[in-house]
Amino acid sequence: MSIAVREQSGVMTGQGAVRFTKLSLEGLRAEQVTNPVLSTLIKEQSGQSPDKNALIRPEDEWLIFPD
Amino acid sequence: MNTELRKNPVLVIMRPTESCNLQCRYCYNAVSAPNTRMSTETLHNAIKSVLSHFRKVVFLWHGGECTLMGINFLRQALQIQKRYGTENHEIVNEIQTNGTLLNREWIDFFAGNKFYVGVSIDGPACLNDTARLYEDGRGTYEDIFKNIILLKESGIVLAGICVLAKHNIDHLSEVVDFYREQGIPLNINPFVSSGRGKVFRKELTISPAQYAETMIWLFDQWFADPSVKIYEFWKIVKSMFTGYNNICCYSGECSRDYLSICPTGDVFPCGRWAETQSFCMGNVNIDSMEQITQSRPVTQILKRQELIGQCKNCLWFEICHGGCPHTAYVYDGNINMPDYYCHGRKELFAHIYGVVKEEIDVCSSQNPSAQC
Repeated sequence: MSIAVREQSGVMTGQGAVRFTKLSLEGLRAEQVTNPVLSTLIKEQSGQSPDKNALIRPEDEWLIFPD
Repeated sequence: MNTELRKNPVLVIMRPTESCNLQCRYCYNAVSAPNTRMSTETLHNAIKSVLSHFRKVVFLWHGGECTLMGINFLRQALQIQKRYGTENHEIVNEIQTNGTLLNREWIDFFAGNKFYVGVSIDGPACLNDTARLYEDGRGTYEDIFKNIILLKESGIVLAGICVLAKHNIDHLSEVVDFYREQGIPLNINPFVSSGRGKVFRKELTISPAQYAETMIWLFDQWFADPSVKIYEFWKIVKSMFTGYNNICCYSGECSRDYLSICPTGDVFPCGRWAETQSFCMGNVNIDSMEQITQSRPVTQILKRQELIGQCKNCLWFEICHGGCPHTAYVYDGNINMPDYYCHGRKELFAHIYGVVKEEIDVCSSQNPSAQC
């Protein structure tokens, strides 16, 4: 395994701190993307109810205690 | 009963016993009251107190090993929830178990009462049985796996937990393949040296760089084929769009949204803190939930995000908030430090951001109407 650390640019907040620029799916439709993670996100944003086999189900949106 | 219930959900980690029938080498379990089991009175006071304050509650039955309490204890808990729950409440029950003591009766109980079940298993027997052991040193895989099959057959919503440490870091693909084959979602938690885990600190601790390298490798596999649900990746990806991650270690508000109730009724921000008396928030047999939720440990943790110097100019602050305060405390003796895995997480976040952005850019260039 080898990885390359990616450098990212950010935006300045009112308090002078630099934060990452949030990503947006605006304008993309689920059928236009081939990646299954993005496709699920788009469906979720457009209010399509996830079915039983969906990547993320409603109960996953509850708080998560990882232990 | 308080008529103005808090709207935001709370996750209550119920620890009716801190005892366990296993001796896992990496167990972080902190013990506040050895050999004590939660009394009916404390159980009653805990549930009554929580429901008097919160509207949307996840009771996570945890431990130690909660099934050691016996099934009637949980039946009693449900009766108390019914007594104090109103039509305004939303109550969910989850249990985190090592899975070894389950049987048909337990599984019917979970199915009949819509419990979500979390089982800890470290993948196939050759990996699981190096760390998840009975007291006599026998491996646990066979017993856990048999019960996982029963849980799945009963249609119970199931999730798994795997601890990432030196013993399995080079075999993570086998662990994930196991979960994929079984169709079980999972959390992958990096080892934290507390509880019994302190004994094996040197043997099991991985470096932040090792954490990053492994998780980045795994993310790339997952992003192309997310047929196994890995909660952390999903939540991190989502947070790149929303600027918020509700996993306790990242939210910066864990002491507001999570609490843990120990066998004696002592309340801590989470189970990890149970042996640190200075972080005790009160006791459900003595203090009101208002007092508990306004106690000093709550404020200390909420203020932490303003106090960690290294985070002030971090690109990823909004989706991390310095990580887990307990992990910072364990490794640095001070909660106002970043989590031990901070550098690894930064690498992981940067990688995930870059991969997702690149995918969006490619899609957008192929679909000019899209604005990304």
